[in-house]
Amino acid sequence: MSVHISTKEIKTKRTNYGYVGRRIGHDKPASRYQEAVYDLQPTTNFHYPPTWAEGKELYDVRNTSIVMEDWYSFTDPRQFYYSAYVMARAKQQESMDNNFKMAEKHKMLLSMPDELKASIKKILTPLRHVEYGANMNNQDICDRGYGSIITSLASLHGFDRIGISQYISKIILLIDENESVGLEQGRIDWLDASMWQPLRHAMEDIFVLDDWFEIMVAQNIVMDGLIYPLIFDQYIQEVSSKGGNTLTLLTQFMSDWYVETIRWTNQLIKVVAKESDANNELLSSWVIKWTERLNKAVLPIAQEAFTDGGKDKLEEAKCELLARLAKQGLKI
Amino acid sequence: MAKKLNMRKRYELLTRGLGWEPTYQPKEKVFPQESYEGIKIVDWDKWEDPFRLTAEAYWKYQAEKDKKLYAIIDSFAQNNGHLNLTNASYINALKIFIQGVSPLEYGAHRGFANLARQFSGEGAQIACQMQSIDELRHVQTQIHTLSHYNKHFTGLHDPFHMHDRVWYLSVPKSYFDDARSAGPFEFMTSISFAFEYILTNLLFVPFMSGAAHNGDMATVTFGFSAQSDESRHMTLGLEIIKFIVEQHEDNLEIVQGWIDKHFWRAYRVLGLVSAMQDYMLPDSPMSWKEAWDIYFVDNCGALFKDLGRYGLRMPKFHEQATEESEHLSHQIYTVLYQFSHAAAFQTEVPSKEKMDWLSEKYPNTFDKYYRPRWEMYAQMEKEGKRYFNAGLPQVCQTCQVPMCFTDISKGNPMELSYRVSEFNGDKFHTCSDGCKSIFDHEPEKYAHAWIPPHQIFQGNCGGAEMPDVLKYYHFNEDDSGEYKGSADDNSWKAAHHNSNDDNDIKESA
Amino acid sequence: MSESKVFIILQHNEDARPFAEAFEQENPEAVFKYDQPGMIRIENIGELKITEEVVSELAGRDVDLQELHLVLVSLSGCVDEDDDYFKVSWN
Repeated sequence: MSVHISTKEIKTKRTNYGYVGRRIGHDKPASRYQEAVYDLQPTTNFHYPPTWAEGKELYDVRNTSIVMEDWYSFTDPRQFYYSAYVMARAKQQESMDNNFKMAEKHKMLLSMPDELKASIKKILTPLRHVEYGANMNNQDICDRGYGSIITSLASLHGFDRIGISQYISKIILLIDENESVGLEQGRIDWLDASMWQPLRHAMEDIFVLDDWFEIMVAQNIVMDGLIYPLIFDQYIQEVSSKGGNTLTLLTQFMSDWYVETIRWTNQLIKVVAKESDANNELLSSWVIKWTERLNKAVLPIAQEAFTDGGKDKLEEAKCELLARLAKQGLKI
Repeated sequence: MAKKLNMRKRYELLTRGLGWEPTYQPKEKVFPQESYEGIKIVDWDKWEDPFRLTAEAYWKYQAEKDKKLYAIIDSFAQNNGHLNLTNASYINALKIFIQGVSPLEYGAHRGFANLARQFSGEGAQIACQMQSIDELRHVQTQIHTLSHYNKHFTGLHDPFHMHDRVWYLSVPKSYFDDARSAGPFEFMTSISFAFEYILTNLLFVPFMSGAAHNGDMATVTFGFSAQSDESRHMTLGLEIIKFIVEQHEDNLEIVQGWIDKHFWRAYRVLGLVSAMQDYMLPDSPMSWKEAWDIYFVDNCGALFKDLGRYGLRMPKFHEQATEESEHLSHQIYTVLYQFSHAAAFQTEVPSKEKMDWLSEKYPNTFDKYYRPRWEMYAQMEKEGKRYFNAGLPQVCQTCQVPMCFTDISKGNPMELSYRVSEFNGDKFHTCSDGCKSIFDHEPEKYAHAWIPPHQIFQGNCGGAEMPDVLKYYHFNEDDSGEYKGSADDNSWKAAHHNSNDDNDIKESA
Repeated sequence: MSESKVFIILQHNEDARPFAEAFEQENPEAVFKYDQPGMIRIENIGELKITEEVVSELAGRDVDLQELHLVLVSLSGCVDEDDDYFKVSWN
């Protein structure tokens, strides 16, 4: 006996949702990413004005001075919609979890020289707060930004920052054998130690910016563009060379994450700058303004992190960032 | 040996202390929305985390959920699972769902991002942020699940465009705009508590069970999968209410006012669900009235008994909602029936079996008030005069549901309920005491609502004629009207007629 | 303890089995309802509680109680949880 399934062709009525078809062609099958991110955001016929933003609509293009004919002309090269995002992160999480378990089991961080432990705590712990602030900025972009592509990306990007801040916390707890003292000291340093104050000050100034796209540039492009190469690449290498190579494993997420981030920030800058000279000028002026400010703010951290050459390493990160942004078309 | 940390302590160490205490910028500038509603928060540290999921645990569990969900979505599409439904008329419920509910999920995603930024306590911020990305999940999994149906049926093709424009969708849209345009604490009371905690079970549980009953395994799967997030959201809703009320005695009255308002607003939106549940599911596992008794009367009774010690009481007009529960679905579906020539779904007179089921579930009302009406419509249809209401409905200025409710609580179930308020010399009509009381409290807000029939009259919806308006809505010709003989009905019958011959699984020796 | 009813609804599938059985074992008074497709509704007066020990025993492996999130459909009551227990109750 055999089971025979005779398949009759089931004719479809249409290929696509209308809102996707209008963008990619009605006969072209849509990807899950396209279905999930295009044109979900309301655009018109709002019933009541927001009580928290006078003269604005609930969703309003005027929340930034950047002008786009179409806020959906940028797409994420990673094509992250929710599921693709959590699947990617779950995979990374699994390998990070193994790294942490191994480090804990073999007491790999405890065998580091005390001096190195002290340095790691001093440099990394306050970065939890930087990550948390970065998250708030991304939640703000999700809240006030325009178009479901950029806002969903900011939402996921912000969630990553919570994850990173928790990974940093876990490293510190591992060094401190689950005592909270290091985390507490990190908070005190962040609030009071002079080396962190210029950065904290800059961050609070970014919190109160009116223009969400300026927040995008200051936070996700400039601040991260200086801190990540400096700390999660250069500093971790230095720590590693001094007997702390376990830290490379425990910050794997952060370094991979930054490489990934560059892909979409490059694309975003390229698309928005190409739209008009006015956009390009605005973006360029923000990049110049915030690079100058944040370079100064990160300098004391760079000097503390490296026994020598901290300033040069920061300069290197800055030049790399500016060169990369110039390559995307910015006039800087 | 390192000391062992339990979940509570561990979560606390990973998250607490991250909240921002600005010193370079004034706190009111960094968190500008935290105080203008009059809510007084003395100490955010008193916040009890409703669930203690770390980012890592979140990624892990959510990925696992989605892996299962998408496997089912894929196999559903590959196997043309839509052919296994009880009947294609069932799809009409899904149309209302994706047009009316999915866009709200998106709105919630943005709204909770606002709270995650605007609250200054990290416990609440992180909980809201988690809900924000959950809501993104919900809208996207709904789109992906229903994508296959869109390829085969009418009315599912442009939900987000429609949500911004179509007359009956202004019911859910105006509710959400109402909450979104308010401050963060009111938004949270509205969405997390009034909607998620008090009413969401009425939307998802019976509806998803209904999907299972009608062979729609794809929708069941996304529904149950979303519900597991929803349980977290409900718990957050309960936590926030207790937290606010415990923070300062002045908060109680404000919060009670919001509960009253948003319970009624959200309840009116769910009127659409009652019609879906009782009339649009070919096979209903549970009536609206039964669901109301379990999920509102019992469940919220217990909830407010618990909240009584905080000084909170049941929402105003809840008695009227309960009294209406034997009438609601019949009245709403009648409107949908009468106006479905201007809707992106189709309706029909309930079948004989359906009417018998309704008689059984609504012994006090169906045969007395509603069966005669359906029999009259059936008769008209038989005579070739299927009834459609050619005019534009007058809608309630608050909830924007067409005026179809009757004065049940005043003992007049056959008399249209009508309330009038005056504001700035104009008259405004509302459908009920609940809606009038909301209007009267903030007349300047509701007087300026985007009322679809008015907008159509003013020519703001594509033009003066009905075809212009339907074009503005992006409706196709086969989206609307009577179900029997519709494109969906015909293609369904064609597919199932053939299937008797050659589409079945055959055993051959 | 309150006289009010709490409930938990789980998906009716294999993953939920050790949780459902633990609720049964650890809350002898609880009522189980299977009348809605796809779901198990568990009700009790006052509270419903499970422990990690019993769930792990029933599953035959170490279970993290947060796995409950994978099969939870709805609940009513206040949640209290730690590594070794999960509880909903009215105070």
